[in-house]
Amino acid sequence: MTNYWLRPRNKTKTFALAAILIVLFLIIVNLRDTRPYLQNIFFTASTPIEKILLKTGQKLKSFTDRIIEINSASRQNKDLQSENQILKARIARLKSLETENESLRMALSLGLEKEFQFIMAEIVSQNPSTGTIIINRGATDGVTEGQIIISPQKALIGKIDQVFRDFSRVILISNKNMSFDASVINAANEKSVKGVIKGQGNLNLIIDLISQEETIAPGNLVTTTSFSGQFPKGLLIGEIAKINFSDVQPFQTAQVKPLFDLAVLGTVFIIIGQ
Amino acid sequence: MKIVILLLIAYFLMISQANFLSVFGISRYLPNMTIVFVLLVIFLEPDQSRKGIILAGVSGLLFDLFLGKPVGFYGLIFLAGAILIKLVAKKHIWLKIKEK
Repeated sequence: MTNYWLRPRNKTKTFALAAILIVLFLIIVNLRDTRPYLQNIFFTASTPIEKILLKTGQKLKSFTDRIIEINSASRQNKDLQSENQILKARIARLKSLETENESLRMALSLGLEKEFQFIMAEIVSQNPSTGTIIINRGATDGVTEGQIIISPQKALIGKIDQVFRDFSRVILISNKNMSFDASVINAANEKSVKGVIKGQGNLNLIIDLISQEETIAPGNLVTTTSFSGQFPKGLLIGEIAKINFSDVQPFQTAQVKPLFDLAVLGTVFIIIGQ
Repeated sequence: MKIVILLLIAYFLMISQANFLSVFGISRYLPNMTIVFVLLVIFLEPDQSRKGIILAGVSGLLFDLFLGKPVGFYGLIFLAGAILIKLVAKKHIWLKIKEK
């Protein structure tokens, strides 16, 4: 008798037999409730590898997340810095507007708008040693040479020396080339004493050519006169700081302290008409 | 031996897609790596080789166990699919990268 397994067989028969066996096996496995048992074996074998894969994946994910977070934080930081810059610029602008507003209020309280037509300007650069400042108004704003610059407190600052398109250079009254008529108002007798203001540089002024007979005192106010035609009458120049009296001199002189302070002055007015 | 290595690769692909790639959230955008691997084996092996069919059947059974389906559900589908591909490929597709 020949062994069944050693006999030459038909390919189709073998295939059919294998298929039947597989189907039977699957039916038995599913019917006999062995599926949970098989799954348990599968998961017991798989769990260590799955754990390793999961842990590795989580670590890698955490690492990549951190890199993404760093990038995101860096981007966020840049955005916040940019926003901060914008806010700082806004604060600076608001402060500037506040200062302008205060200057205008002061000017209005002094009634400057009734006496003069003026435009407001800001000091953008200053050089007290040469006695000049630069303001942010120029030919496009209608500024012309010789126009007078005053502070919001109606104190004389200087006059326009050179006009550019958007800027102008102002020659201060303390400039060494400045010389103009002024009068000292004696507070005691309300008499005005004529003299000539001369710039000394570095924000220093003197008033010269005051007659020896006249009496002036420290603290007396010095104002402009209209004799020379350079400035309108009544603008404040400064106050007498120290008197240099000498019997041998034909005239007495006095140091005048200007009423404007470039250290705090930001806004000025250009008188464009009366 | 070769079939064991192929089965291990298929198994590794299956659990790594579920446990490793899913952590990154890219699993859903990827095709089933095991099926792709089985298909590659079927297409690249010589016509006479039956490794692809065995790999498909066993991979299907692993899927059943892994996904909690009735045993043989994916197994038979994969097996039938692999045989069909083999038959069709043998007759109509000329793709023999490796010839023994």
